[in-house]
Amino acid sequence: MATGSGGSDPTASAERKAAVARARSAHETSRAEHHESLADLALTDVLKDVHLRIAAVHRSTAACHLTAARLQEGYAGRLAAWAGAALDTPPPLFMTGVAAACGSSSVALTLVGATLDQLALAASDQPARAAQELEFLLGEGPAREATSRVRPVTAVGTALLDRWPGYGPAVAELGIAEVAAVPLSLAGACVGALAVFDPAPGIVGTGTFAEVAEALTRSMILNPNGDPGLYGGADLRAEVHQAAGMVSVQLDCSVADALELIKAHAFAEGVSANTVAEGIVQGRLRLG
Amino acid sequence: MTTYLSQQRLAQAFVDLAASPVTEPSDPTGLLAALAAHGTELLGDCAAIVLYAPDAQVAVQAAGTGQDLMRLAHDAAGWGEGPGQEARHTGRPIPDTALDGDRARRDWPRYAAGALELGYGRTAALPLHVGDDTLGALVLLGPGITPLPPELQALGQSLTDAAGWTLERDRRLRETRALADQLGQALTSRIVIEQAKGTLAARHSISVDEAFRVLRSHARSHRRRLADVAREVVERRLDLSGGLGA
Repeated sequence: MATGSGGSDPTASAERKAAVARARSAHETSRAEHHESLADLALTDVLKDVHLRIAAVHRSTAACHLTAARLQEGYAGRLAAWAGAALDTPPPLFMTGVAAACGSSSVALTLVGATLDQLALAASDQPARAAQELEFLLGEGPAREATSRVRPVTAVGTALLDRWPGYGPAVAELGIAEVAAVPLSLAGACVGALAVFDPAPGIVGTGTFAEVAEALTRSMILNPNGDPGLYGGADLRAEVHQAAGMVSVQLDCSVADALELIKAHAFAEGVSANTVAEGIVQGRLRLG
Repeated sequence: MTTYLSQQRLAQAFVDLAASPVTEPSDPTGLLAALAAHGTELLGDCAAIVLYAPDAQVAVQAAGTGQDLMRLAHDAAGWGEGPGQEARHTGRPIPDTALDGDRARRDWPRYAAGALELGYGRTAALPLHVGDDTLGALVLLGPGITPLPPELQALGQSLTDAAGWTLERDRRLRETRALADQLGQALTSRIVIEQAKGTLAARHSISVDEAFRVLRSHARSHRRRLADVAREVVERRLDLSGGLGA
């Protein structure tokens, strides 16, 4: 996915975003302090309460911007270290920092359209990517539910199997025992979800995931100077959609139906939709 | 001032201000509605005028608690003078000022004369802050020569702050929703383009890269957006076989 702003120098872009986030955090803190002092001077309890509530909102927003700044700084630092060492390893992922902030190694970010279909995705490691793929293939799971209900979703152990009869057993087979997802939303507009797999004990329900999700949304996803492509780390499944176009011609059906056929084939074969798509685009595989 | 009944009215005024999601075109700040609904309990025998100018280009909107005040408010907007205008420009409150004093005569000659004629003797103005900008003001007018009580000015500023906070919240809501729509459309367009590449590739037995070249060349020569052309290809409304072999 092409990056929005960031282009040629992601380190500089991340540092800029961090600086902006820190400035916003400082601004929100000063607004909070202003309302707290107005609360002190308030002549009635009613006015005092209004100002304290406004101050609390500003404090929470300040904390989010600070989290966003740390995510950007962490990424810039990892990127600079990698560039400096000139290793032959792949470049660091923005999602690695997101995972660390969530107390897990496996997190996945999904952006969806109006129909809740996955449009763009990013994951911190292979298990997260595999779990995200299962949601895509089966059309059910924690991220989809968090997005449609605009509420956090968690499930552990047998509850996983009961809640999602298709996704539950499949993700358990990956060795994942617990999933949690929070919506990516701001001002009532929900654009996707952040899913965390096998989080560290004690972190679910603390508000950490919601804060990280809000930080991501404010600084990268729903920010005019953001980068929903996560510095090139986000994937659009381009080849899968190309394959859907091809299958729609080969089988004379809609692209939506073609996509469902690809997903069904991928799940049946135990491979990713990208793998099936590759075969179709290269002419090695023909469905129907 | 701080009787139990006043506190109830106060509480309701703030709740109404904060809860109003839709603003009236004639009173976009919600201030007059709040003041009107909670009547003289809040203002006593003082009057209020609200100025609102969200855009430098757009004329100042003004309204008052009563017909005569509406007229004064509109006249003042036309003259470009008055305590409200000054508070809006400086972003600072105008404290209680005598309308027949030196300051009023020097800075707001026509306004002061108009207000005096209506029987008012004192004025103060509180700036309406929306985010980092000052977009309007609440003007208080008191009858006779008694200075406007400090509690009234403080109340005016608190109400104005609450209105400003609501306007800022609404503005951010609109901006964020627009961004979310744009993001969804941008991602969907990119996916449609991929679908079109596959459709053309299969239909004409060409590679997806060649299909992209055909799409792009058609869009350019017909001055159309790539995503629109792609959508028509995917929906089988456009064939593009004419672009092949180029």
